Parts: sequence; C-alpha cells; structure tokens
Amino acid sequence: MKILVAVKRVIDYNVKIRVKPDHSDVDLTNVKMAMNPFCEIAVEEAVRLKEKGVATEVVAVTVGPKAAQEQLRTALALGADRAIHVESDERVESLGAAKALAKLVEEEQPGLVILGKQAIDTDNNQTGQMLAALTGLPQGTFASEVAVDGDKVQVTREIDGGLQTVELSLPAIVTTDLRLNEPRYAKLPDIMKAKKKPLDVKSPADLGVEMATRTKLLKVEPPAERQGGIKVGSVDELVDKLKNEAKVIS
Amino acid sequence: MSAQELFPNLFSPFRIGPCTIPNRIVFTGHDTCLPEDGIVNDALVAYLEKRARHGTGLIVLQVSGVHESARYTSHLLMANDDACIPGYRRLAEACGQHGSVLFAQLFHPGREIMESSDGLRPVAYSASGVPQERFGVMPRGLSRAGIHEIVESFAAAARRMCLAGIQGVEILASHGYLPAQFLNPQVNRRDDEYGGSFANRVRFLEEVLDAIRREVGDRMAVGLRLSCDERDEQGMGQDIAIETLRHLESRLDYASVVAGTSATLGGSVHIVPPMSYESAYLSKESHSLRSDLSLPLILTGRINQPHEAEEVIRSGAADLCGMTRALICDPAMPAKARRNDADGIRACIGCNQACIGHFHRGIPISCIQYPESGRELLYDDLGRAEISRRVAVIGGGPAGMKAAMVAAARGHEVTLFEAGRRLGGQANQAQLLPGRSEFGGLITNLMEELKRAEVEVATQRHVTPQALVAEGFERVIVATGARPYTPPLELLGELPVSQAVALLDGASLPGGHVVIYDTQGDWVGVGVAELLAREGARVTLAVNGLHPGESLQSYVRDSTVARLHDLGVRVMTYARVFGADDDSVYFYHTGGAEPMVVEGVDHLVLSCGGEPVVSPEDEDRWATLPVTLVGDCLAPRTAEEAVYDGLKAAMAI
Ligand SMILES: Cc1cc2nc3c(=O)[nH]c(=O)nc-3n(C[C@H](O)[C@H](O)[C@H](O)COP(=O)(O)O)c2cc1C
Ligand code: SF4
Repeated sequence: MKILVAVKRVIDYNVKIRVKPDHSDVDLTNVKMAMNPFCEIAVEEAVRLKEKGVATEVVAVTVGPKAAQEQLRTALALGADRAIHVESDERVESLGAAKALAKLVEEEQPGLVILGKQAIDTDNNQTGQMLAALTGLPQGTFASEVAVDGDKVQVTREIDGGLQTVELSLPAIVTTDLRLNEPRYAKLPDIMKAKKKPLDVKSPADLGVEMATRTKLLKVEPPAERQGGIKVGSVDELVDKLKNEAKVIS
Repeated sequence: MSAQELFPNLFSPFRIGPCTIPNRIVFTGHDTCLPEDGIVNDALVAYLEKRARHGTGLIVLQVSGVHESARYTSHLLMANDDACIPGYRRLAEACGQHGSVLFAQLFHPGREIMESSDGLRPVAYSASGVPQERFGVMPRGLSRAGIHEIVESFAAAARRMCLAGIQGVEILASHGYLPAQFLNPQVNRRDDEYGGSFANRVRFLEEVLDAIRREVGDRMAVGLRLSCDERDEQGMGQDIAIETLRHLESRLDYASVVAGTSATLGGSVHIVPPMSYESAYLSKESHSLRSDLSLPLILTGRINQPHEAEEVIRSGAADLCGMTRALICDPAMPAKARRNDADGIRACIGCNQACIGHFHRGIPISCIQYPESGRELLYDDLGRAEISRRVAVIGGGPAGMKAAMVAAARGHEVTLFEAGRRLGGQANQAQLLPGRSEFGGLITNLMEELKRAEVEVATQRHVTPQALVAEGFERVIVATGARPYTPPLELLGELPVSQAVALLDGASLPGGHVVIYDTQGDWVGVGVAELLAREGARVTLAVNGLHPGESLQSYVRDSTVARLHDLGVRVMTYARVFGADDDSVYFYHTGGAEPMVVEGVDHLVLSCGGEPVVSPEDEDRWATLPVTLVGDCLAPRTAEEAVYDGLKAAMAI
C-alpha cells in the first residue's frame, strides 16, 4: 500500500508571531520556519505503518513556495521515500491545496492519505475534509489511533467529551490529532540520505488546477494584551463586577 | 669586532635620576606567576638573578599591588605591608651583585580585575562606574576618601621599595590601569576636582607622584609607564599621552612607552604584541614623543635582537629598549651580544604561548623554545652527565632537536636521525601560515644550538630502535611525531576532503566554498582559513569549540580572529562533523545535538590534530630496549610540550 502524506511549511511553533506594521499579514522576514507539527505527526504515522510492513511506500507532498522543499527534505529524512512539490508562490488556501492533492491522489492512487488536522498558521482545519469531498473518499478526522486491517482502517477520533471509533474502507483520508504519536527527530545520517531521495517539482498548471484564492485577507491583528487581574473582597463584589464591568452575566 | 664597535649605543651607560644603568637593555615589568602568597620567593629570585648575571642593564620588577583592592589576579606581588620588604631586598641584592639596576612597578589596576584567589568577583574601583569590556567588570566609582587612601598607598609602597634597596619605582599608568582610567575622559565621568578638564583628570597622577617624592625624595628614580596610544575606540590617543608626559615631566626621571589597553580585546593585543607585529613597531610614536620631551624614554614592543635595539637608540626613537620576551627566551642575550655572538642568540618568535599565555592561565612563566625559563631552580645549568654515552635521537622535530642538543651539551655523544630532508617537523608547516613566518625561528634557533653542541645530524635516514641498539647506541630517544588525525566521517558523495597540514606541503590550494573543520583551536585551523580566504576562497570555519582559535593565547587569537572577520570568513561554533556528500557538510551542534548543514560546499579541510606514529604495539616491541618516547609520537600536543619533553628526556641520561 502506498501512503500519501501532505506537509506544510509554517512558522516554527517556538517562535513568537509578529504582525506586519500595516496589519496586512503576518511578518515572515527572517523568521524560522518549520514543518507544521500536525504534519510531523502525519509523517510519523505513515513511516510507522511502513516500518510495520503495512505500507510499502510513503510519498510526501507539499503545496507552497520553493523554500517549502526544506520541509519535504525533512519528511524524507524522517522516512518518506520520495517527495512531490507543487510549487506555488501565491498564498495557498485550503481549497487550492485540496484540489492539488486531489489530482495527486488521482495520479498516485494511494491506499491512505494522511494530513495534519490543521496547520498552526491559519488554524483552518479544512484541507483534509475538502480533499475527502473532492475525491469522494471516506474521512476519519482528528485521529488519535489508526489501525489498518486488510482493506479497512479503524480511526479513533478525538471528539468533544470523548473518543469515537469509525471504520473506513480503503482508500481513505485521515487527519491527525496531537495524541496520535510522538514524532521522531531527523537524524544526520537520515538527513544526508534524504538529499539523494527523489523530489519531483510540479506546477499547479501541470496538474491542471487553479490556485487563485477565493478569500481575501483583510487585516491581521495580534491578540489583545491581557489585562492584569484584580482581587475582589467578597462574593457580592465579584458578582457586581461580572455584571457591571465585565458584563458577562446579567 | 668589540661590542663597543658593534653596538656603540646599546652598551653605553645611561643615567636615570640617581641611577647609572650599565647598558640600554631593559627587562620590563612582567608578571611571572612565580610568586606564591604575594611575596618574593626563591623561584623569582633565581629567574631575575639569571638575567642580571648575563648583563641586563635595568630590570623592572613585575607589578606590585599597592593596596588590597589592587589584586587583579590571585598571584601578583603585593607591597601593601612592611612584611614584603625582606623579599624585595633579596631581589635588590641578587640583581645588584651583577651590576644590574632594579626598579619596581607600583600598581593599581582599577577596574581591570581578571580573577581572584577564591573565584569570586572582588569589588573593583575606578574613577567612575564605567564598565570594563574584556573581563565584564562593573566598577564602583572611588570616593574622595578612597582616592586619598590609594594615593597614600602608592607612597607607602615606594617607601618600602626604598627601604628594600630598590633603586627606582615605575607607576603603571599604561594599558588602561587606574591612573589611565582617571586620564581617559571616556572612563572618568567625575564632576569633582578629579574629573572633567585635563588638569583635573591628571590630578590623581600628580598626587601619586608628589606623595611618592615626599617619601623617597631624589633617592630613587621615579618613572611612568604610559601607552603612547591605547589603540582602541574606547581608549586614549596619542594627544592625551603627550599632554600627560609634558605636564608631569618635571616630576619624572623617565617614561616607559608602550601601547594598548587591558580594557578591550583589540586594545589588549598590544600588551604583548604577537609575531604579526613587526620589530620595534612603536618607533615612530616614540620618536615623536621624544622630540616633544626632554625626558629619557624606554621603548618596548617586539624589540627582539640587539641590532634592532641598537637601531632604535641610534635613530633617536628612545634612550633604552625593553627587550622582555627576548630575555625570557634567552637570558644570556646581552652577554652574547657583548661578545659578538649574535648568531648564538635564541630569538623570541613572538608566539606568546608560554610567557603571557601561561600568565593568562595562572601558571608560572616559561618559553616554548626554552623551557628552562621560569624553571631556573631546576635547570639553571644543564650540568654534565657522570657517564658519557652514545645516544641516538630518532626524529628531527622540536622534541628530537631539543633532546639531542641537551644530551650533547651534557657530554653525551649524540646522533640525530631524521627520515625527511630537513629538520623542524611540524614547525616547517606552521611557518607557512599568514603572519607566522617567524615560527620558523624555532627551527633556526634549535639548528644553531645543535651545531654548537656538536650533534651529528643524519637526514634522510630511516632507522629503528632495534637496529640502533644493535649498532651500539646505549640510549634511544624516539621523537617521530604524529600524523594528521581523521575523525570518523560519513562520506556519501564526491566532496574532496583534505588535511589542513597537507595543503601547506605545497599541494594546490582549494578554491570555491571551503569548509574548514577545526577541533584543535590552534594555529592550523585559523591559519588555513586566513590563507585560503586571502587566496580568494569563500571560507566557512566550523570549530568544535566555543570560538575560533580557542587554544591560542588571547592576543594571538583576537588579532587573528579580527583578520578573519575582515576577510569575510564565516564562523560556526559548537560544531561536530558528521559527514559530507557531494556538496554539503553535516554537523551536530555539540550543545544540543541539533543538526547543522552547510550547503554549496566545494571542499572540506580537516584540522583535527594528530595521532602518534608510535603505537602501543611498537612500545611493547621495544620494551627491553633503552627507549624513551618524547613529543607528539608519545601524545600529540604543542611545540611547547615537545621541547620540554626533549629537555626532560635528555636530562635523565
Ligand atoms: C608574561 C608577561 C607579563 C606581563 N606583565 C606585565 C606587567 O606586569 N606590567 C607591565 O607593565 N607589562 C607587563 N607585560 C608587558 C611587558 O612589560 C612588555 O611590555 C611586553 O612583553 C612587550 O615587550 P617585548 O616585545 O619586549 O616582550 C607583560 C608581558 C609578559 C610577556
Ligand atoms: S613563549 Fe614565544 S613569545 Fe614567549 S618568550 Fe618564548 S618565544 Fe617569545
């Protein structure tokens, strides 16, 4: 079975996000970039399935700028066998990414597609679901456990208030949640070997997909500074402040 | 020719205050780390007595702290208690018996505090609370009572020196020490009578000099050591130096001219200028000072040889010459010059390794070429062996040359076998690096000593200890050195990899983007980086240590690192090499194991030290033979250990 894993280049989660002075976007100049943590979990899961003998090939894919090849190399160092880069310098929306991935699913015919449940830059939580809709494949989102059994996969999903297990027939789409696994670190021998693994570059035009965005970014605001707390003297005072100052109860 | 004809100026007497100095050669003040507990000991007496015995005209003693707050290291001499007097008297007598004149340096470092005996940071005092960059010290501005106390402590220390029979005192106002901190408007931010105008900033020194004169009158020479230029953005320029000397001239018997400041890395290079500075490099500044003043001047700084000193005096740049490392390296230099044996002088090569390098590590002074230096109590005289033996030395690097020369000087019949065409070992490569040509002086000096000791030298001879013993040699010293070490490397491609020392042997130099991997922090890594950058390569220097040139003496290191910076060499620190493919080199960060990859590389050069050519198996094979291993073939280290190994092995025969 072949597994297709989608990865995204985002700001490293250790780095504080800064907004451009004109609020037009997040400031990316000289910021350390990395693979989206949920995508790391997706790669890890695919590689583990290959190590268990369930999968025979892991193909990593990204849609994004030239520099996103760094993240493909990371995926290769983590154990993916080859990589496909759909190069686009435009801002990539969930739908554009899903369309490109859908074409690749058609070309590659994977048994399983694993994606992160969302990317920590825009937190959209859409691409996996859109891909399922475009390809008509069954989806198991927010996975905390994935068990392939013959032509079926059981996916344990993290849902509000508990866990839900669904069984999908393969081929299927899975998106990863935080507790699915703990991704490994890329080691130097693997980083070196990753450079020799094949990396194909395609344009959206090669795939016949339109990357034009359908949403417009109007404004980016940093989160408001938190106000310092106060100590109240009595329950009455608390109720009063909640009513009249915070206006959260009436 | 007589000394009078050869060096008419150098060997003419000179008057400073009440003293007549027999010649113009000065052993300027330098901390030896020989004293323990702040008082004069046998080692220091023996060290200075030796220089006096061989004809040094004026000896200026290492700094003596005048006040408890003057302890800038844990091993300086202290003159803040009458108990110090007998020790200084011993020195005055030891030097005086040979006709040398002895002065003492009176010292307060102000904010220049390097370390302390208990490792804690002492309270540092200065003119004002302006931070010191090199040691990261934030000093406390002195109160007026504090200033008065320190002024009086200078006077009291001068009185003690006078009682001890020392003939002069020299106030250390050079190198950014306390008096210089008062003079420097960037450090002195006071708004009382000690700060602001020049007249106020020089007041501290005026008071010090007046208090000293009050105590000692004209019975002692009183001098001032001053940097003619502190050679740093944060330091003082020549204008303040001239103004200061003009202003204080009437209170002084002489001035001692140097450059630099202890306060910054760049400024401190001039405290002991390394071999990249030319001989007597401050002559011009000194010349212009001298034309402005009628004060006798001592000039110091890379004056290495008697003919250089003769020229400084003849040209009128100074009246006397500090020749400090020249005398650390060869205590008999004045006597040799006087008897017209300049070729016999072991010239200092300005490597800084064992003199100021030892000082910074808190260990007693020595010299890489002359390990007997600072060890006078052990090796004042090499002595004669009781039985003369046939001794073979295998390997003509510094260890083997020193061993052969010392063994021969002790009366043995010595043959030195060298497999290559010429003697010198790795010093041959060291001298090919930019600014290091003087390192070859190590070979020249040792060859001269071999010749004089009548060692038979056989080059291009491959010999074994077994064969030599069979031939009748009674002792064999093996000094065959090391071969370059290659660390484990994962190679997954065609990137060319070379050994740094091999490049120096005349192979064509790599161009393009060259990565140099250096685990040693010695002269090879930084030297090859500079060489290749000058030849037009784009160089990345990846060092295993915390910074480039980590094991070099700091003045050598910092002047070199500054040149690498100018040449655009990129530096990576904390790097441990893992491997290379066609065009990238892969490293781990030694602090956290995070991978670091350098891409677009054309060549990898290794500078990872050596491994001994003599194996433990060889040692077992020679177990029954009278064999001693010395130098790198025993354990790869530096030239200093090699030469000292050679000395010790030869002394044991
Ligand atoms: C080990 C060492 C310690 C030194 N300590 C002092 C010192 O205590 N006081 C001082 O004025 N200069 C000190 N110096 C500087 C020397 O007096 C002299 O100016 C310097 O070595 C340059 O002269 P040269 O080129 O003749 O060696 C020291 C030099 C050395 C090598
Ligand atoms: S160690 Fe080097 S610099 Fe110091 S005195 Fe010896 S040769 Fe000169």
